[in-house]
Amino acid sequence: MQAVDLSTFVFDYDLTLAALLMHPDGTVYHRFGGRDERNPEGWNTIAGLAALLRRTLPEHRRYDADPRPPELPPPRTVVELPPLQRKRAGEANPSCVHCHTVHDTLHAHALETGTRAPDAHFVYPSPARVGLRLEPAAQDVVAAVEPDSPAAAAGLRPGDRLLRLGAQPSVATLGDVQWALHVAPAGDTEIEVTWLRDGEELRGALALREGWKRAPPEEYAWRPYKWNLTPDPGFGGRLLDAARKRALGLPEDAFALRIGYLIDWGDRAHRGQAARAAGLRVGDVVVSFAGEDRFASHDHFQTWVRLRCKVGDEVEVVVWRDGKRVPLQLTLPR
Amino acid sequence: MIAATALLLCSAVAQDGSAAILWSTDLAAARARAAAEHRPLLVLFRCEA
Repeated sequence: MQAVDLSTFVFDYDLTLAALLMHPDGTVYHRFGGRDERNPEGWNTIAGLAALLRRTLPEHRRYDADPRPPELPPPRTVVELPPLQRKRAGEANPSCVHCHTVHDTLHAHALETGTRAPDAHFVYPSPARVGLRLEPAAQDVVAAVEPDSPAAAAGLRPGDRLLRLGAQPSVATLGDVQWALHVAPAGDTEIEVTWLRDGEELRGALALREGWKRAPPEEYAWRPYKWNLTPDPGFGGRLLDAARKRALGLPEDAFALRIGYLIDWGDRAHRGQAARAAGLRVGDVVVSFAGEDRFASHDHFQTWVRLRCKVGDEVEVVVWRDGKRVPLQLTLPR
Repeated sequence: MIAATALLLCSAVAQDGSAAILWSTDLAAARARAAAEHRPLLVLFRCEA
């Protein structure tokens, strides 16, 4: 990703597969590639990509006959941004620039320059944020509408085929919908939507309120972006399997995270120090954190702390030692 | 773990439904060729994170 112009090639950099169908002048017709918390692969099929290519060719011919090149910001690459420059300057063999490094670097740069907008980390929101669920096999088709949601209020129903959504003039994919939601303001706003039902073109607007982009932890957990957020607990590890829980005397369905590390590296070492000061140690089994013990995965746990807690919070961390619950007090560091 | 970029240029769809796709890993050259030949671009990003 180090040589890629981020002003032209804009997509969800947390993804491991993404494609842009575009005109050489920089106009993006469609974005292919996406996932949700339950389905990492089902939105990216060969059949889906082939259908998208076939659909895009006539769109390209129409646009190419009368192109209106977009006004793009000046070209820039991720390696030009100071946070990544500093990081790579300190490496004897500069590491590869992964796609998710882009979000990491943009986040750090925004913090340094004081330009970070509230809720900016809720990138490429799921359609669920507006009450929509799409069909993986036909991603412009509404599969379900949540009652009392902005989508329901706008008039959308299952079976409707999305045509236009906000800044996306032609909707074909989950990526298109997420991009339209991504570029919309995070505060109070309205996103115009046009759809097809029984051959009739209908229009409405998604009326959205401050905070609409905020995903719940279970929805956000898959994103690498989460590792940039604070606070973090200062430790990590692995969830125990049923056999290991039984061996310890824990119920099979209990939350049980065995601490594999305390953060002790770089400018984040103070986080591990805070955990150590609370009495936590490698090998401990965490069974409850700040009163919560329903975590589906280690990613979910880490995300929950970052989205539900605040720096400075004093939380109870319960560990399982010698067959007993031992409560510890942790002050969450920056 | 490497982020890779591959580019495909799609030409028109033939009567049998097939389409010629030309591969390139040179982004600048692919854009220039696409502009000269009025082709769309499929820019693929694959990251093995």
